[in-house]
Amino acid sequence: MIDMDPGLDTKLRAFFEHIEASSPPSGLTDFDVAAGDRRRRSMFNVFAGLAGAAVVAAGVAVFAIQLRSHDSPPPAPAESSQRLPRFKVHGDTRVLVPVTYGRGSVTLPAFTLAPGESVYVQVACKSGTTADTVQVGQNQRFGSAIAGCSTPTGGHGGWFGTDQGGPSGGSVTTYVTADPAVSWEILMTDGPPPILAPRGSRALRPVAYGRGSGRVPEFTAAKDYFIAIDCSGAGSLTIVSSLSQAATILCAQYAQFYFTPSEQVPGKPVSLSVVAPSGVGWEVEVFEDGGPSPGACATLRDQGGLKPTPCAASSS
Amino acid sequence: MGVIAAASAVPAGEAPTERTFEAVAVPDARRLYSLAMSILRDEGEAEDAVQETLLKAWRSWESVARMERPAAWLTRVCVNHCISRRRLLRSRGWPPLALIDNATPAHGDPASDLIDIDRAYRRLSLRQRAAITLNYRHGYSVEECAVFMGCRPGTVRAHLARGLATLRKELGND
Repeated sequence: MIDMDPGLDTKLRAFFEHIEASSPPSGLTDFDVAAGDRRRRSMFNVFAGLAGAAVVAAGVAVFAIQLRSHDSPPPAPAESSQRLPRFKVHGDTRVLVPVTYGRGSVTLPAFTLAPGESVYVQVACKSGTTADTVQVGQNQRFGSAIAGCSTPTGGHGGWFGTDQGGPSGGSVTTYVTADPAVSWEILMTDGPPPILAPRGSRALRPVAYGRGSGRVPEFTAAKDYFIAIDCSGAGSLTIVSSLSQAATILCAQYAQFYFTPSEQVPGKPVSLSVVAPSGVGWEVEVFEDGGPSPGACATLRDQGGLKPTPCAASSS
Repeated sequence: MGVIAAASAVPAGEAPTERTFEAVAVPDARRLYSLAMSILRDEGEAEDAVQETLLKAWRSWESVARMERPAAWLTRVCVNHCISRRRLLRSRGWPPLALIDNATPAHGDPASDLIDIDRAYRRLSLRQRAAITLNYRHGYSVEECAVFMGCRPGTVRAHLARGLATLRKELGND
């Protein structure tokens, strides 16, 4: 180590001690990647309820993204007294932006998407004033928003972009726009997003998830069931039941897809296989009641309703 | 001397997961923040540097967690981010940094000494600050400093010598 004369040594020592005595912002010591609770059942009701609000908010939140230079102030940490709900991610989900806490408007570090890869954004917010909204935009695109920050429980929701990676992938920079009084947290992962239960349906078995081709654990249904599928990535996914019924989904086209096999035998065990390229991530969940009619497929509409759609992927 | 709190690697047999990241990397944030503050002398920039460092660590956690000394990796990333980030801001005409506080204590007051040393320290280049922080304050050898800063040991010695000469001159100790 360098030799130091006593006078300078004393001053430098006091100087560094002064620096080290300052506490880091709580946002750093709280830096947090939510542990992967592999079953997101507890999240479903929250998402089902709040996704509606998120969609409505997104509809009115068309805003021009203000490109910010790197000279913009860094995120101020959320106060510990305003800790927001924890997000959940699957164990195999690729985290694009780890859970980040902040306040006001900031530019988040850029990340790179693979071709066809999608982004799932989860945002929560809380406000000390009447400021109520957090808007999130990416690159030059318009964004979506979460409202309800000023409510006693804060705002919470998520959305999913199916075309963000585009045909060749690329760098994505995220801009968060909020009032300085609004504390927020954000987590960005690749897709797919959580499966939402259609109105009136009941989950029969826990979510299965994976990447590329795989199998869904066997289940037995006492009455008619339907299969919910989410996928993300470049290419299509085909789901095949042990009764040789299949549906094919173009992942870039559908985020939420529901399929009711036509030939069902109550009480007979069913196993499902997923056939997909290795870059496709997926989730499969089985429900009773409230799905498409037997032999039909559907996608989810606003408010949990279903919209009929072909059971095979088209190139359009 | 020194504030190195070496993070321990993931225990044998345990997979590098979110839990091990939170257990190993996140507690190092305080040390990294002090390091970044010592080099950058700006709270916001220091916070940014640590967030960037943890973000890189998270993205590479599979390999970082299996390193023998993840703390050293974190230090190297943080130091390099501080130097490069600040360089960018300076080239854009980043405004001069404020002193430790806005008060102007009387000469001889400990707070006055802090302001004097801070003013002198801010005259150092970022590499000189990094060399002094790592070697003098954190106790790393010149060779280790060279690894963290991505330069030769001789360059580190030069940064140390010039940095200390500037401090002595500014503080009237020469």
